[in-house]
Amino acid sequence: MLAKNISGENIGEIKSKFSEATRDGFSPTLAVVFCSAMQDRKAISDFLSEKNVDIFGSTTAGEVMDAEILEYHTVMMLLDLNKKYYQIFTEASMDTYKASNDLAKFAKDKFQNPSIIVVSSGLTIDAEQIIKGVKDFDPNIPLYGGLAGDDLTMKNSFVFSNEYESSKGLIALVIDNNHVNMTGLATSGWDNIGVEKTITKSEGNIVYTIDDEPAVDVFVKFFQFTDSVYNRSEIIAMNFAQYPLQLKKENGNIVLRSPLMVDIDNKALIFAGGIPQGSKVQFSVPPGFDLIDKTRDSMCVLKDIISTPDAVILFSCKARHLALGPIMEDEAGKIKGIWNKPLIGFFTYGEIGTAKDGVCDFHNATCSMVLLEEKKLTQ
Amino acid sequence: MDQLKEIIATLSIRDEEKETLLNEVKTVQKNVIALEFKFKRTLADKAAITNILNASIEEIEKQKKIIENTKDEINRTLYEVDLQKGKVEEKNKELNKLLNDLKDAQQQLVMAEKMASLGQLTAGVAHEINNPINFVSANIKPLKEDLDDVIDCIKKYESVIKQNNLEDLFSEVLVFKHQQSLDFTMGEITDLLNGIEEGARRTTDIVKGLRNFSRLDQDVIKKADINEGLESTLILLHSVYKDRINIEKDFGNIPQIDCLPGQINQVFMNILSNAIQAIADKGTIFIKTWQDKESIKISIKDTGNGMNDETLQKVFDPFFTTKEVGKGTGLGLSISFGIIEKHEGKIEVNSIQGQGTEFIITLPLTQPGSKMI
Repeated sequence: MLAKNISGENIGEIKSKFSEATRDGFSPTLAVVFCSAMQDRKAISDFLSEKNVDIFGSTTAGEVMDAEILEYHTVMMLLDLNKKYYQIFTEASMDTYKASNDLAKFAKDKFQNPSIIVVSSGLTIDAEQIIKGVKDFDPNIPLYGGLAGDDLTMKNSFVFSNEYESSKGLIALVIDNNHVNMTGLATSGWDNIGVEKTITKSEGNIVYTIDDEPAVDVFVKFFQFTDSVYNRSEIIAMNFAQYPLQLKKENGNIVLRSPLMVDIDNKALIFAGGIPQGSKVQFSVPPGFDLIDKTRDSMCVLKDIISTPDAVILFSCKARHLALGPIMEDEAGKIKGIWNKPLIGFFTYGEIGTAKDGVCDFHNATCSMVLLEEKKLTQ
Repeated sequence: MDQLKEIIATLSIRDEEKETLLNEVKTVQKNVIALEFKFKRTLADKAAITNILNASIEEIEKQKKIIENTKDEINRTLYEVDLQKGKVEEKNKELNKLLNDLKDAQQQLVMAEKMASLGQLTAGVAHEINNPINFVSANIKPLKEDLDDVIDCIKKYESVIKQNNLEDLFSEVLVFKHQQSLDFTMGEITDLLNGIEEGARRTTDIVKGLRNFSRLDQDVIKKADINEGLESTLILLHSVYKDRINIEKDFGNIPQIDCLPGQINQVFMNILSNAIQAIADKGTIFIKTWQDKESIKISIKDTGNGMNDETLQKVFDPFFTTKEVGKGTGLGLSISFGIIEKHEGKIEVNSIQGQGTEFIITLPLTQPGSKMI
């Protein structure tokens, strides 16, 4: 399987780079497309459909291509993967659990040993339901992915394919593991700090009070330094997302939950994942700038599983981008440097992946990476 | 950057050098931006961490205070619990004592009822025997006098026969007299009458003892002679100890005391019975009474087996007995203890295993009437 990356600021540039990439006879069947919500998705879809290329697409809060960090761009990984080895699943639904359950059924219908890369749109969805929906059907299906972004405007994120676009739905790339190896890892690095606090009122991913204080007031007290939080929603993401809550789940997993939006009327915070009422949380702070080396070292363990991947897909939390700023490019560069293979990714509002403990979960402030390698005939 | 490009373009260096210089400047600029970012983020993180840590310290202080208050509260509660526990234990002790008293009272009632029945029976028997034995006692003396008259009369006949040489005429009577051993018979009649007299006297004593012991006056305080009570009890027990046990009495000149005589006799009966049973073969029971200021004392000491310390500790416990199953109720001394206590008296016991046991009873001379039922 050959993979080529292209990027552009507009459809014209994309078309031009596509032509350049296919000039040598390269004939992509599948395009992994990550683009700013400001990009013309319709034009991109029409163009790729015209070229008979299947689309697995999502809007972003920033794009990653190889060692480059971009904003307001389209990045695209073109793959000449046999169409029999993958399927695109789409379902627009407010019922995330049902859509995910349908996805798992679809995957098992299509392949004996499927793996799934899933992206969901919707800023207020409870992404835990994606994992629950899939794992309830079959706990053994490998699952990676993330939540679509919208350039931190916190208005609408989208997933899309050739004839599909939804601001409240799923898109999944279902891979046949019998022909394509897929593995991945999610790594964070955020450090917990301070005393344990109790979520005293919450519903799903909306947290109303922490230790009986309005959630917004608690975050403002600790992390709001200059601007009024009530005026600009992106301030929430800018200031608060870097300081996620560390949540110890009932199953013992420790996950991070970043606030994404604010409900001004109720002084509540909307997080990227569910935080059950009564759960114990701690604040966490971004790691030092040596994080990028730590991330690279963590990812290196995957070399033992897939030493020469054909493609690398990255779902990195926007909080990491905000925390690392211009140094983020160094992280991308170092990850790219592990395999020196085409790497594409985007900054998400939440990541799905398996951490070192081997349990698939929904995270924030993590980098979830997926490696793809078509099996050779000799294998 | 555009400005820099323009400046570099004006420099008198080669184009390659200009390119290199521009790239270097770009790198420097990138590094400056990165450093500036790091600086700002470090400041932001520092502020956030400071806020969190300050809040955490505040929270910890708050929790510490709560813990200290809670600790104080717990200590207070523990103290209260200890106090309550003490009170409960005290109450428990009281209740146990009440329960034991109740048990004792119940047993005493049972025993009193038993003794009352026994007393009635004994009194009845004594009364019934008393009348016929009175006939016997009253008739012996005139009978003896009558018999003496008959003997005197026979002797007169013998004297007249001898003085008038009438032996031949009365030879048949004399032969008959000889054949009947009349002299021996007359002597035997005297002995038999003395025996009847002695038997009647002893029967009278027994009846007196029975009457004394079984006095139907258990609920009434009376003046009673303790020495007399002891005598009566000994009479009733005579058949049990005679020929085997020597009774050494040292009764002092003691005044009559206020008591329930029937119940006090019951105490003597219990202690003396135990003393008799403690002497396996032959031995002595020493009984001594004396006055000690406003009370009298009774010591009953035997030369029996004695008791070990363990038995001594339990000797007044209800249902404690060293006797074989069915031979003793284990209530005798317990009841005795209750009776003496009710009389505001004291009962002490000293014992040496293998040497014997001594019970010392102290009873006041007078009783506050209201306390006795």
